Amino acid sequence: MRRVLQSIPTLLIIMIATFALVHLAPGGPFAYLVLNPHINRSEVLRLEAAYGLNLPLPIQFIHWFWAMVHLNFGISFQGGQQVATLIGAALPNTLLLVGISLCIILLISFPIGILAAVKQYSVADYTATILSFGGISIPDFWLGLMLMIVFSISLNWLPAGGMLTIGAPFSIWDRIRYLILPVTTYVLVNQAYFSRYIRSSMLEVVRQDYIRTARSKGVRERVVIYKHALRNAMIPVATIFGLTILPSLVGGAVILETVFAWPGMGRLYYQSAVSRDYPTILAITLIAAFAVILGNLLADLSYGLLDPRVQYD
Amino acid sequence: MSAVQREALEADRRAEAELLAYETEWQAVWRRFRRHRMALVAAVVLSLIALSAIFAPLIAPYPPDHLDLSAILASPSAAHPLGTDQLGRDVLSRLLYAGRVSLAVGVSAAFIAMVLGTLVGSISGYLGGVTDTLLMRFVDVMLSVPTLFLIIDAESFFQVNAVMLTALIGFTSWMGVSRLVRGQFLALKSREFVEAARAEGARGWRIVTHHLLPNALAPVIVNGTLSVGVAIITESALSFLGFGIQPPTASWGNMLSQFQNVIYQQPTLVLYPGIMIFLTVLCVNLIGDGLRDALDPRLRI
Repeated sequence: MRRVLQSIPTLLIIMIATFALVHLAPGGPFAYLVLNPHINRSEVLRLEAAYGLNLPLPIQFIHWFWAMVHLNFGISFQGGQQVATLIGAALPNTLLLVGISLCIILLISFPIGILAAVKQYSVADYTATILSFGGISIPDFWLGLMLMIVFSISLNWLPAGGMLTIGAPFSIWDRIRYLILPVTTYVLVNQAYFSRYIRSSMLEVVRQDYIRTARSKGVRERVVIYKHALRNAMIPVATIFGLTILPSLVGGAVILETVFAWPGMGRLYYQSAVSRDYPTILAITLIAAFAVILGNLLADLSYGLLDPRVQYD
Repeated sequence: MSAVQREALEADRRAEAELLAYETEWQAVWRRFRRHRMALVAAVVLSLIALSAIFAPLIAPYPPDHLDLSAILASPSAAHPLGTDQLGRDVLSRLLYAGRVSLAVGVSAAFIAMVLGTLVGSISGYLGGVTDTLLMRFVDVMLSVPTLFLIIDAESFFQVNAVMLTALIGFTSWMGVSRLVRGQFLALKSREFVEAARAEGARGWRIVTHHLLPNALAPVIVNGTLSVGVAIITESALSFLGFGIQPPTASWGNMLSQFQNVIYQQPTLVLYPGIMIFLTVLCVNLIGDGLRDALDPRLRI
């Protein structure tokens, strides 16, 4: 409960800071109109008034805060749609892309991490190490572009970007074809961190006395690893998952979604940043920050759930 | 020999022994580092990349902005070993010049992050109490917004040049180091040698700079090395998205986004800047790994 209370000021500071940051900016969203000879100054002022940009900042903040609580993120400066509508359209796409990727990452990084730890310094461990060093070092957008060149431009097997074939009726297979490249890129880059983390967490646990005790009691190796070791190794791993999953689920992968023109949160954020669409930028930043804080909180709580030794004060 | 002289002589000898011990300490680090074959190879490769960037004006066949309008998007030839871009500029030359920008931004940003993180972590860990709570709350706030969002948010209204970009990357990536240093300080603060120094009358500043910092430095160096890699990736990602180094100045990231536009005409172009980023970051990470083992064998995982 104390942890929950602690995260409230953090969130509030973030809200004030993001708001201040974006609103104290030189050159508002209508600055470019001043250069247009057909639009006179009063017209710009009228637009600013319509969007509430002429009010004192604290008042603007209070208006905005109140609206935020009701998930009313305001109207996008570009195209005049509700920000909530834009986000509502983008969020499911990101959930689909990142959700599938994370499931695959979990499925492959656990076996890789455990194998590398149990057979430390074996060929399998070295292969896993090389893979994870590669994954950590490779820029995801470049890997995405390379896969695109090979599989969509040269071989013409898969679409280079987008989410569905325009005009074609919805089919699962069509959606999967569009998912393969971005998911592969996401998985290849991010499995590195997870399997590396699982490996070191397992190594840490395998060294402990109770594992030696279990082994010396004659417990079978399989049981030692999967029952005794894995359960304890899961504790820090759960924290990392908590810290990563929620933020990336809602925040999306800005770069990857941009490369593959995937219409998710990341791409929406990128487009709003390019066009200085403040309400959308603010809303997405806030949602991402909220997700991080929530993820932190869940990670902390799961720590206690997995490890009864942890006490909350 | 008077007692004072003897004292002075003794102090001299102590200082010398300390110096020798210090040297052997670094020699031991170097010995352990050399055992790491991959890290050694990485150090050589990275040096080559760095040298090619530093001496770009001497090596590059053309100035980075030299336009050859008769050879637009030319395939590799004797005149242009890696071909030319949309404006007929020599790709190899631009790649070398881009290396200067990307490396300088990466190293400086990581340095800023390291110094800032050490500073905040030291203050927080040494003073404790309210200062610690406030600073760590601030770290929480900074960590709550993904780095890329933080930088792009700031940039959506700043006109950013290379120096500001470097500062922005540095200012948004010091939090890990500060937590690390703080943790080290908390652990070291109550150790006997610090108590002893305090009993001898050492003041706060001296304890921090002479007793706590040197002992907390190993993980900071490792972390600092690794964050060079992170900073290079961040810079190239930002430049790729158009929020980083602006053309005509070449950086590996903005070259990638420029080549993405001609991906159907000259797909091989995308290869080069990416390989440079990948290779550089891979070397940095391998060196960091080697350093971790060399600086503190106990840290090995």
